[in-house]
Amino acid sequence: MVINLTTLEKSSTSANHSAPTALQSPLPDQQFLYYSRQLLLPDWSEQRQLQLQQKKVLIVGMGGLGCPAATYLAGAGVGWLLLADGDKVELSNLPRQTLFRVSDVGANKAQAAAATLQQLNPFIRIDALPVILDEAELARRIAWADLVLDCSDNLATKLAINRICQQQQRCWLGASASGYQGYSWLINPASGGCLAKGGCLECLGHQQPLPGGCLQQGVYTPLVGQLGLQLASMALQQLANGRRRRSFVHIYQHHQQQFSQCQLLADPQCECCGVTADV
Amino acid sequence: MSEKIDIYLNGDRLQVAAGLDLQQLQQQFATDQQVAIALNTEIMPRRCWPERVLQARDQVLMFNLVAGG
Repeated sequence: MVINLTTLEKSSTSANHSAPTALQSPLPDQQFLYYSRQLLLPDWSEQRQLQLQQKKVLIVGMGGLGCPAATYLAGAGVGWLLLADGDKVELSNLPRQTLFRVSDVGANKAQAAAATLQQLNPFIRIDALPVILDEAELARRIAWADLVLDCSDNLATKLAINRICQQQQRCWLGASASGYQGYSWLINPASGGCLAKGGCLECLGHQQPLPGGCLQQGVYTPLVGQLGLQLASMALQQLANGRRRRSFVHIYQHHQQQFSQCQLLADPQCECCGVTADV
Repeated sequence: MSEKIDIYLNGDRLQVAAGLDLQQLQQQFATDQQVAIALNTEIMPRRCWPERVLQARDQVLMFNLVAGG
């Protein structure tokens, strides 16, 4: 089927929405077509699409969590994605790291993912950081981003992001999976007003060495996909309205095939957030 | 005979001794020390476990902490 972009009637869908403010500039026709199914959603609009194009998201880790998260954030039209991963694609990654093909084996994950995603959405900017970020660089990149997604596969990186986001008082998202266990989280260091104080990753118990990881325990392939999609959905919601939400965790229960959402309470004596939580 | 109460642990109904706290529950039912516990949809900091005595019909979710992705 050949699509004639010049005959596309933009008003047929945009008329369904009431933009909160006057549009600065309408979406170009090709982009309007690209995002048309999203624009049909009752709470979406060209204005919201244009706002999303101004957003910058840092994704740390382009494995089983990062691949689905980045795919759907790119598809939704986040304007600038920065993908960080120092690892190379291995054959054992392919079943769940869906941005890679056999021909990518040996390539850097961030660069291979960026190349695939750019083919998926040519209307956004995607950059790769093909290195393992040290803490100073991580802090600099987190400060740059509107939102951070921790899709890493190791405790040290997760704790570093937790610490930096606490210092910078930045809301962030992340997930973790191994075997049939997994959960995603939103952690919001901000407190005060009507928002009850929420905990951080160390309050959850992530301050001690944790067993194995996927290399030792394996991982249930659909679980990392589901967690990655949750991160993408939570990120879009957070980017759209910046709602100040209390920290929570979505916990996967394999036997019931369901997720339970639980609030993450702050530990008043937490070494990471206990000092600043009352500020 | 000591008094028992019914709670729900990871969706399963269970009888435990009245007066049992979260730390004792973890010691009884989790072989892995590295778990988190949610009590009635609130994840409790580990430090608070000895203070939280279980009540009848409490919903407890105990899950392993992991660091993969």
